[in-house]
Amino acid sequence: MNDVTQILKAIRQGNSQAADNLLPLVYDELRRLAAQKLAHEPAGQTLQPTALVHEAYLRLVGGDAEQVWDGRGHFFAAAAESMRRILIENARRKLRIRHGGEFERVELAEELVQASDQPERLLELDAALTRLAEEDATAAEIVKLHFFAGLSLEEAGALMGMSRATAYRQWSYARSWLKCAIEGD
Amino acid sequence: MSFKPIDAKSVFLQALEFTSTAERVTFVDRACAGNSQLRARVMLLLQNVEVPDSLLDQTGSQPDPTHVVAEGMPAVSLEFLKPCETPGSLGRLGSYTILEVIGRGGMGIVLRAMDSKLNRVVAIKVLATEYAGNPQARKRFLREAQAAAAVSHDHVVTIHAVDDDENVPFIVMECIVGQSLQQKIDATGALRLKEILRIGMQIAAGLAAAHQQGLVHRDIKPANILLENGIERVKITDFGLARATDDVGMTQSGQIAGTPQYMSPEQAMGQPVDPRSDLFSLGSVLYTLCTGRPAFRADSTIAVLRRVCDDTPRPIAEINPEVPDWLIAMINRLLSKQSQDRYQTAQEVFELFSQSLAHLAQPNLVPLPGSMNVTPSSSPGRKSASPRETNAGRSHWTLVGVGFFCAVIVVGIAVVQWLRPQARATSDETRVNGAARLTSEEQGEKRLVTEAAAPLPTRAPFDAVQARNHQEAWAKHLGVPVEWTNNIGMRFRLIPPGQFQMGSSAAELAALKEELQKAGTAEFDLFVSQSSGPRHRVALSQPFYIGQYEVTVTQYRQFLEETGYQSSASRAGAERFRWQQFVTEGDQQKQPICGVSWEDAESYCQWLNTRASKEPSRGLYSLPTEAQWEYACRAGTETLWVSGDDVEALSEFAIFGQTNTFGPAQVGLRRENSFGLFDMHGNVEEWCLDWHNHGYYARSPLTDPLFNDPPSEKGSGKVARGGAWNCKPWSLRSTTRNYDFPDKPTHARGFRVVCQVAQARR
Repeated sequence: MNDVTQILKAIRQGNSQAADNLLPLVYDELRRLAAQKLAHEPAGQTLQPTALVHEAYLRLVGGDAEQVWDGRGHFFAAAAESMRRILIENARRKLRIRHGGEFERVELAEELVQASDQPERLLELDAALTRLAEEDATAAEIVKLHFFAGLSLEEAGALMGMSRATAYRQWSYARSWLKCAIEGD
Repeated sequence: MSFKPIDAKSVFLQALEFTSTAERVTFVDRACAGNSQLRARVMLLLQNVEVPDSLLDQTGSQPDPTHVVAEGMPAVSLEFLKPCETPGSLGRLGSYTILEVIGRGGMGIVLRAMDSKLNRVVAIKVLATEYAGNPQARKRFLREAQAAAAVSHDHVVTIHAVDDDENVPFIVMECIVGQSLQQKIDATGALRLKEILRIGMQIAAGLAAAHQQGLVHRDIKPANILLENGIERVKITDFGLARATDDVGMTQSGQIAGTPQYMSPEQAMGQPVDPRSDLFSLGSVLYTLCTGRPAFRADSTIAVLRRVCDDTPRPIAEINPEVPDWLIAMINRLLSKQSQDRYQTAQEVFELFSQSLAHLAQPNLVPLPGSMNVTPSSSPGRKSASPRETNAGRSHWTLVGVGFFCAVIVVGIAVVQWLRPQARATSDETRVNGAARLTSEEQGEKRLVTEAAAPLPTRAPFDAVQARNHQEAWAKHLGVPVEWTNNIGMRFRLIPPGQFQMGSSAAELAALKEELQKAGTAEFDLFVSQSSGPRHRVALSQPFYIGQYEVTVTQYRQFLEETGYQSSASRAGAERFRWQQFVTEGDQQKQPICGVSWEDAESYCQWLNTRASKEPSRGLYSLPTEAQWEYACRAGTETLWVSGDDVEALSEFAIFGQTNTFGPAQVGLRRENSFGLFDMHGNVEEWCLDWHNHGYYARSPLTDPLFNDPPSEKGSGKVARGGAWNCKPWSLRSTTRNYDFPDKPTHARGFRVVCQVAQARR
């Protein structure tokens, strides 16, 4: 049994501190995976967060999937948060370079082109999402799972214990909320 | 006055339930009565639902699936609308209050509006701004609309008025609530026979009415055929308007406006057009209804036009063997390149369809219309050399399979009448997803047809003794062994042709759903579990060999060593996913291979085929179809597992539920089924040939079904069956249809191989 499995089991048994240990492990794995994939992909390829996240899950949990089935939600929540951080870091780095902050060509190993072609907007989204999380945790979680971890609304809903229709509704609301926030109303 | 965010959310979500802007606005007004800040917030949120967002919409999910947003719509300029005080409206046009944009037809924008005078909802078509400036286009727009208004018919969208508001010409029509035929095809693919006839009949009726008024539609295509909600009544739309833009389009840019896939050859060549052109287009639409795809497809407009003029479309029978000969003949006649070869009037087509529907309803009382008794040899695309086309061949089949057919007819589906021996492409190999289709099929069947001594196909249920007798009888008849081993040590068992109940009954599905929901099972698995219905009787017309065991590590290794093949996992760089990871200490000859993708399994079968040429007496290898797999797995049983309906007995046959083991067990540790196969249930899950399609069982052919069309649903995958060593019992059921992306390997999945039977003796 590996580390992540142990942590997930611990969480399930009610150990809330265990969750803190989960995030760094997942984060590490995702960064490593992203770097590795990019090293193998032809230039200009984009990576899909959803593939990364699922692969990380299988690699970290793998054969223990059956045992930690109930803990999947925690894993994906950690994965979503990790992806969010990776993307934001990447956006910030891109902006620094663009504004002449770094002269060397940095190997943007974690560059996930999908969201990073609009770094400013992504940063605004991130800030808005933090505010949304304070007001409506559920809606924010849906955004994290769907937008950052790339899970389908159906999967995200399932992890959060809501129906597909409800997940769609939460997403509609969150999406509109974020748009209003970003556009400065 | 302030408000709580939760209230704004609540009103917002409730407002989303309404599908029209006007209704939403009314609701919001009422719900926020007295609180203008709340109202403003909700309205702002609602407005943003429609607005595309380059960042947030990368996820690809629609903001609100209950609200129909026009597909692929570029920003539409509505500046021609006058301002309007009605809240929630987009503007005003004449005395109409514009509520929302429904869609964009090639040359116009369709809006939903409220007729304030008559107080009813209507659809308004406005000439798009790029054409509105052209006086010729406008004149034609209005002239044709006036003519179209003269057509009053059930199956043509009624035109209420044609008007002009300060130089903006527009047409007011009845607003149809429903979906277009294109949307229906996109959702469900090919339609059932009865529906095809009904829709064809109604389109023909509408065309007849229009032709009578001297109008040629010129743009008959699935997107222009609306199906009114509920009864799905056909309403032809966009009538006569194509003519207005056609000329304009041609002279301006030399390009043909709109999609040419359903155009007639004369239209494509810019020649004069008459009502028979509409009939060609109707034939093209019918082709699509039969096959789920257009008849003339290509990458560019020019290429499509060329195909329309020169090419014969792929024979319908190859794509959908369920379609009867007489309908194929009709469609082919409609698709004649020369208009004088087609039916000459829509009325004639209408009557033919009408009679066919009546015949379908009462085959014994109402004959097929006389002009449709076309012999198979006259339809293009059929190989007349094949013996099964002759009456002699047909009656032999009938003789051999009388009991077979009776059982199938009991199901009471009229389409059964048209069941015939394999109507698939024969003399040339048709490559399906890389696996060569079965040419020896034809030889095998020839044999079944001509030898009067052939045993009857099996009919489930049957027990182990009967199964063995069937296998031996067929082996003897075919002159092949019941069991044989190929030159890499793979052992196969003969499975005789026969029929069985495929899928789960409604009661089983309901019970399973309850069980899984109680256990808190994830939505995906619930979805998978419900794909197994409805139960239906399937016939497998060909005998085949199937691997006695799952493909082993040693056997897979040989493939890798001989070819240097790179598996999906190693190409993707997923280190942990190398199949080597799951090989344990011990005899690799007995360990099933896992951690292989569907593509890997396919490549393996192809490799076997290249080697098979060294063994000329055997047919071709492939993955099993879902039907073959289930039939082989059930081996004559009709219960949830071969062991019965009680899960207690399952462990006698299967390895499952192991949560503490790292990988699968050796093959063959449990009991074999009545066909002599091991580990169909459990151990490793096994890839099948078919794409998964949730609704396939409701419309699949009843003989040799195989769903191999690339899926239109995102997120579909290839079927994987039988469950694995670490799965719960329900995954192991004979009927469970799991699925996964074809390039994805998992540690719980491997495969086994089937091989077609080729006669050993002449």
